[in-house]
Amino acid sequence: MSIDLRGVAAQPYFASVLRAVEKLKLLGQPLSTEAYEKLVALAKSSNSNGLMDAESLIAPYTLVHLIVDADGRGTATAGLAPRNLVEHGWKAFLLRIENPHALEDDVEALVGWRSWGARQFNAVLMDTINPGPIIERQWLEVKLEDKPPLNGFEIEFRVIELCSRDRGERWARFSFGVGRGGSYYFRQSEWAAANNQGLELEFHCVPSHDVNIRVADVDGQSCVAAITIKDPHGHVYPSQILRLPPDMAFQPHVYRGDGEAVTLPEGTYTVECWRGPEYVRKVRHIHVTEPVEEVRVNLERWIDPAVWGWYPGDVHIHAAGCSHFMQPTRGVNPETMIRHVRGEALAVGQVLTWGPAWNYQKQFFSGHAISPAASLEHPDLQASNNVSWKPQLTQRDGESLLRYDVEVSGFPSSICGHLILLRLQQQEFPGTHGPEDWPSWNLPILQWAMKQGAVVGYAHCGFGMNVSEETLPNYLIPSFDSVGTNEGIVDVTHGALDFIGGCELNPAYEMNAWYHMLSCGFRLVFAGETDYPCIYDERPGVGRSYVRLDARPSDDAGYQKWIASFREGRLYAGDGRSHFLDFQVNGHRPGDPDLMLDKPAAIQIRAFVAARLEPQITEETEAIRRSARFSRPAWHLERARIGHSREVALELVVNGEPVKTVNVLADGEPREVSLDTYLDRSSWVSIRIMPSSHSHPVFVHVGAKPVRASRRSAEWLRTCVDRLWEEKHRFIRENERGAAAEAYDHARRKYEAIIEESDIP
Amino acid sequence: MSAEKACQSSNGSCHGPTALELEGSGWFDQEGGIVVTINPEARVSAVRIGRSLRLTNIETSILVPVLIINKGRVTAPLRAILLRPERDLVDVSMVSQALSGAPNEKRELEIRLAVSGPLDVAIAFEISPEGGDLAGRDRIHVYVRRESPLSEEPDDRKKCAGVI
Repeated sequence: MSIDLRGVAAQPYFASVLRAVEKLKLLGQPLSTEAYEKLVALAKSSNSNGLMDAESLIAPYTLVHLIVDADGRGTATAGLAPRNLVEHGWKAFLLRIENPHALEDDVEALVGWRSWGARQFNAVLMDTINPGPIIERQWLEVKLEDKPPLNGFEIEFRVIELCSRDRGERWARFSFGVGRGGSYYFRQSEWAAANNQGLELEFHCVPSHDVNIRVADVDGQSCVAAITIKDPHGHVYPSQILRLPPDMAFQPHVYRGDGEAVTLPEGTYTVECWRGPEYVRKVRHIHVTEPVEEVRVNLERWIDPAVWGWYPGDVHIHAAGCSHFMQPTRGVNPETMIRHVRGEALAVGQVLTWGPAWNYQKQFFSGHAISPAASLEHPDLQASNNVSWKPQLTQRDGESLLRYDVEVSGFPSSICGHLILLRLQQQEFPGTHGPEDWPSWNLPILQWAMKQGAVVGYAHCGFGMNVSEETLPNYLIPSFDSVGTNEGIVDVTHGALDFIGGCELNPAYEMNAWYHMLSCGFRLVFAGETDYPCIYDERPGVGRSYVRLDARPSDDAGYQKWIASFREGRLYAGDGRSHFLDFQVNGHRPGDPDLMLDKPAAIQIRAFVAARLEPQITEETEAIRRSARFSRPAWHLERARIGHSREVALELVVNGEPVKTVNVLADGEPREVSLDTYLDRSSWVSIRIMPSSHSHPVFVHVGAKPVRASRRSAEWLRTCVDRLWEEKHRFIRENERGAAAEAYDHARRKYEAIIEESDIP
Repeated sequence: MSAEKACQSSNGSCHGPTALELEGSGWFDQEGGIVVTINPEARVSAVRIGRSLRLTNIETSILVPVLIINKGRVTAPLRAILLRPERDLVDVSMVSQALSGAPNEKRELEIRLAVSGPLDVAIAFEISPEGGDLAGRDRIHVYVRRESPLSEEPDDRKKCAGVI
């Protein structure tokens, strides 16, 4: 039953309606001047008699009248607003809410089918052989402006925004609910949807325009870039909810190559372009109107590490990663993955098949690097989603490679740490029929992989390695209760560990074990990786491994050289915002033969370093710099900014300890740095800008002795083996536990021997 | 206050305080109030947290806690400005002494009602008349309802039990 306006207080009524009307104006859809002025005059009179007149004035802008019952369920009826929408565009309307039971909870709208709105950022595709018809009917996104809960007043107004994917005549069913926080209100609105309590409305959607994007690299060559398009009200185009691969619902940008299009309604937009951290983020404003003009994106690099022989790769990305599984799919295909890798200017993307979707994704493993065309995976489904743009080849396509390999995650041994197996020739462990048959601890898998020439390591190495200190190195014993380096401290003593992957989490958690292992004389690489889209949804290449080569890797042979150089330590890892373009210790670079000194001596360090902070400190840069160390992005050059300057600290690290620091102007220009220090024993020598990048060490032998930099490091690792066994042994199958116990004993003996050999405390 | 009322990210997609910024401020321990955020460029935004105010018959005014997150390290006075309705219906005041520049600071906003019945009170926060927010993010609205006629004791004030 509708509220009698004669009993409604005028002041709160007009306050609410004027606030909503002003919001409409802010969204570019004001009332007519005449209607607005009359409304303001009525509000000034603050007379309850004016409410009827006000209702008449706003009726042509009101999409829905909602009456909320005592349980928060909404009964909706159609308002008088003409239901005209724009293809791929947003339109705003008034939502009139009658609240006779004075509820003070959140209001939410649900549109479409029962599954709509149940996810944070995506429509849900039911499992079906052909999802096309479901995609076709998921054409509308709804958003309520202003999230504060209802006031408890009898009548309130809100602004409801709708985004149509389609053109032409379309209909949708709306349902509404009111509840407090969490999912309560969804239950009310879903209840309404499930019980046909919703309101069915028909809309007319006028067509938009295909805007052609021209993308040129610094030398004029065509390429793929990440494009983020927003209107003045912050709406993202194309709508994130209404996306299919290669456009991802979990990221605001889309990847477009030269000559590909985005569909936009007439209006003004901000277009942001970038191609990974080696490029300057460029922003320009465009106006879309007939005749439609193309948008030219001329990219600008601040650094090109390839000129110095460095080629970036990401050794941990997924085609069926966590965020892909926010809807039940099999993940995406190589043609989508290569588009994302090209759009971040990565030379190599290691696409790792893991437990979820193993049986589907393993078909893409070939034992070779590939560089497929970035075509549409399912043109039929794209057609169902009203996507009409055609993929184009670009001149830079051949500069990016995919290599499908394996992450041992979602397997019986995963609790011992997730393994990354690169350059596999066979991806199925012998004698197994599926992941569930694989060994329940890691060493047998590593040894099997290494026998076939694989490069092996641990993923997201910081998991399970966290302690209460953030210094490097530290000597606290981690809990080993997660899936990072963990068993790696045993495997390394068996010669079965090439690298650990990080640049995702707090560097102290990620690198402490690495420092200690290096200080005991072990050789392994610290690699940059992303775990896209699991740890980071934003893009591949959040964490990067820059590998030194004589020529760009552009085919399988090039990949073989890249991964071999990676394994040999010709690399630095980081966020791509700082670079060690050259780093030499007495002329020896990382990955070169070790530097041999007859006796303790001074060493000369020469480096070319480039880093780029934004010239101006902004709210965005400060948000990164001041965020907690454990928050993401954990690795970001902004965290290294010194005060309000544009400088960062470059540290010379010997055996894990910083021995020299020099401030470097982070203006993007390569700068030569010369340092020296004195070595009295065999050592490992690195440079770092934390938390942005870290070089692989140069190993120096004094008097032909092995690196035994710190007895305390060996003692730490020895203690860790016991803690690790305590934590992990119960997860190992009984018939494998004996062999595992022997392998752990081997590690104990190895570390005890190193303790004996270490004369440095 | 419930954590979900704070922004879950600090990437600029939300103009309210992040849960991280509120952590340690003590605001998770109380039911609500107003959070005013001053960004590094000294722009002011405000969000209200919690439920509507209900005054009883012995109250003519109410004190609402205000948490100021001062990212701009501003040391100018922060003022609360009544936008509507007119002062003959309601008045608001807040100590307008200069901010200390500390990252977190607490103030109290006093709302005084001159009439009975429901009111929708709109308030802006500003540190300089030129520094208003173009998108209206420096403004909040508060729904107050005094259930019965004014008390005989106009100076009687009661600490807010926890809510806006």
